[in-house]
Amino acid sequence: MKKYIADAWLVIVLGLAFGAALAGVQMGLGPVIYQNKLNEALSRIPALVPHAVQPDLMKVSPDQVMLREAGSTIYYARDEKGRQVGWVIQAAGQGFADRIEVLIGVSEDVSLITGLYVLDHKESPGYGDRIATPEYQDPFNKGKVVGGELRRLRTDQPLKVTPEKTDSLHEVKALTGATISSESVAAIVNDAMAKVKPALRARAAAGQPVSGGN
Amino acid sequence: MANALPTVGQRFTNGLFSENPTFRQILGICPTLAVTYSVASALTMAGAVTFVLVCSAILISQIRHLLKPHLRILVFTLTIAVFVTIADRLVAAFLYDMSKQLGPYIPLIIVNCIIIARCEICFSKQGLVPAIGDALGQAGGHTLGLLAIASTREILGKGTWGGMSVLGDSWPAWGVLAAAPGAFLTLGLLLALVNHLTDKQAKPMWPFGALFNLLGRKRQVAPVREK
Repeated sequence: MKKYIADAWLVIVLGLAFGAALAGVQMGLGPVIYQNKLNEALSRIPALVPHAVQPDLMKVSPDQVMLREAGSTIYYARDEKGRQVGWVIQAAGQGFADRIEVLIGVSEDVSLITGLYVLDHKESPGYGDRIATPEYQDPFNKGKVVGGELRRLRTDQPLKVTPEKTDSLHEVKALTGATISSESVAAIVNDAMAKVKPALRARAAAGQPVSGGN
Repeated sequence: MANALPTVGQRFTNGLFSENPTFRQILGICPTLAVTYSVASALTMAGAVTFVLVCSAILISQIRHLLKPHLRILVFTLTIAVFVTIADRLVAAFLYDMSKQLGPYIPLIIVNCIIIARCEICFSKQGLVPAIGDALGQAGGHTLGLLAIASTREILGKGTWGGMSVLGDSWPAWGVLAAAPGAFLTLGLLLALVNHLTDKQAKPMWPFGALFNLLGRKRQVAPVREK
């Protein structure tokens, strides 16, 4: 035992010192990074929910632009007149390389997916990182043409990832060479929907109108 | 008799020229290819590598007498990982858009061979001043390499440098140079150019050849075959 400690004491001391240093850095920079992500999330709301406008944090407090339900952060998507037109759900889960964080735009009744944006990821360059490109996101952002009509993906069933393009509004095509990353994003969306939909409906049932703020 | 280790000045100039990480050691090529689509991203990467190199040089040179031979690589990796994580957080906090553009390449500095090679070759063998000189030389050489490739790609591929128009709207932007294959093409062509300019057997056709000669070169030249 003494021999091992004599050998490894430097590694142990460095490990402790580095851990403390990283904790200090995170304490100092964490709020700045959080604010950067919040600003980015708010700036994406108009692209994720049709007719929504970007909230101005200079005029409203953070409590008026988002709420926390079922462990998720949910942003109100409102139009110019302040009417609720949808929601943007911030969700995260494990990807192929690291944690993937996404924003999911949904309709006001949480029945349709109106947009997807990858907020943060560390997926493999050239492979998994294509989850942040139109190649993967088009069905989420633009919908699918079914029977000559453009329709949005639906949330009444979990999304599935398929090797080929299909007409189903519950399926998205996997990225060639990045099946795990493709499935990870779909799983994050499914998980968020499973948690958030009942919570938002419970809010409405408890007398807090879905279209209202806090 | 053991060879004397290079002085701080030699370490610095070697890193810039005769041991240039990009054009002589061919190290750190993954980020070199991936982030040189623009000058801004190349400079951000160069800044992050410089930060990690200098911080690692300071720490490793100070604890070099405590290193156990069989645990040294572990200590190097641990040290590099910490400084890379700090660099990543700093970029995410103060250059958020650039952090999004660079994606995983800042965290991937952990596996950049330039840094672990310098830990092994210099930081763990020399004191603080030569180690910092070496770190700055290698970082400067790496920056020059990235800047040369990024400038070539951005100017010819987009007609801009650092986002500013330099070739005007009439330039038919060579998109291939800004795209991924352009990184390989540009690196190959610049490597060939540097090899030509520093070749002892070639007549110096450009002042850069004389500059490389002046600052010392270690490239072995193949013997001339007799006819």
